[in-house]
Amino acid sequence: MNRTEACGDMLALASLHPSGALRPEDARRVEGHVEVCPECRDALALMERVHQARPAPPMGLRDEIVAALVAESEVRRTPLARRGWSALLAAAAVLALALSTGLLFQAADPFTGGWDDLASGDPFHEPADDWYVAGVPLLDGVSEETLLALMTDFE
Amino acid sequence: MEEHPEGSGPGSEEAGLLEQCRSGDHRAFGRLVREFEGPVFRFVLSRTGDEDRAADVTQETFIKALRALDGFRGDSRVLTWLLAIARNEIRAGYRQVSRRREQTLESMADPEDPTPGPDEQAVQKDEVRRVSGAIERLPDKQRMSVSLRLFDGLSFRDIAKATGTTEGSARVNFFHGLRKLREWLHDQEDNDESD
Ligand SMILES: [Zn+2]
Repeated sequence: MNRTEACGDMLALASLHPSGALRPEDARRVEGHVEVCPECRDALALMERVHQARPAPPMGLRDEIVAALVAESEVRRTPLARRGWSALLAAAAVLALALSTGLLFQAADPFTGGWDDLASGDPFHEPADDWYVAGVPLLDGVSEETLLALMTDFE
Repeated sequence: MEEHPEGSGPGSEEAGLLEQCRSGDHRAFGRLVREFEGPVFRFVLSRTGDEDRAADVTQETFIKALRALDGFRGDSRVLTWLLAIARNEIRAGYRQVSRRREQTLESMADPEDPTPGPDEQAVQKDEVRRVSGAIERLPDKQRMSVSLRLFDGLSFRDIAKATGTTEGSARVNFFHGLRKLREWLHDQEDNDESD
């Protein structure tokens, strides 16, 4: 069988075969096609070779990440009062910085959406480098009332 | 052609996993990391070319994701979301004291695979070196399209988002890159045979 117009679409589909990302019925379509089409068969073989050469994360990284997540979730579950004054002071310092730069209340700046933007809408817009302010994402999810209450506590 | 089985939002399995992570279930963290550590690491590696940095950014990505879990509204796939966080981490120039880690190959790290003998391992390493060398020679956008597609099966739409291009360009870059790989690897094999 000669290369047909359908081969282009078939190759796009076939390129999801090595990683196992295809639905079973699509995988079968690809397998049926390469049986009768030598060109696509060669292309699939090359794509399999590339897939086999994929790098793996370093040994031990997985355990390190899980340990870090467990530690992080413990911090999140510990009531603020038990975390001591240092955490409160750090939060207040970050808040003061954010307020002084007007960052918290600039509705139109490129990064006030913060992690909410990442979670939805257009997560890939490019914030200018200026908008990376250390610690600001820590305040995401904290309501304005809570922030103001925090400030009041420190007045 | 709707090419990706999971569509645009997380599947119910992914949603359930996130819910368990949200409630602080440690085993769910393990599953989340097992599922997505490889794709996130490879994405960062393809952008930075630095394994230690890729490992650090990968770890930071998961921590940021945990902090942002409550804000994840589920209108994208989890991997797409994680890659967006990773991309921001790379741009923020995240840097931590790196530990040297031993680089492994996914195909050799699978504990299910019987360990190949020394000869077989040498051949496997040669093959991997040859293919990885060719991938590294590709221009950036082609390299990223090829690796995101073939290593981890991303849709062209997700590749476009992760690499800051259009879906059409992601597809064209993929096929251009693939054609170059075919030429280079075939040429190499012809040379090897004539040696
Ligand atoms: Zn064909």
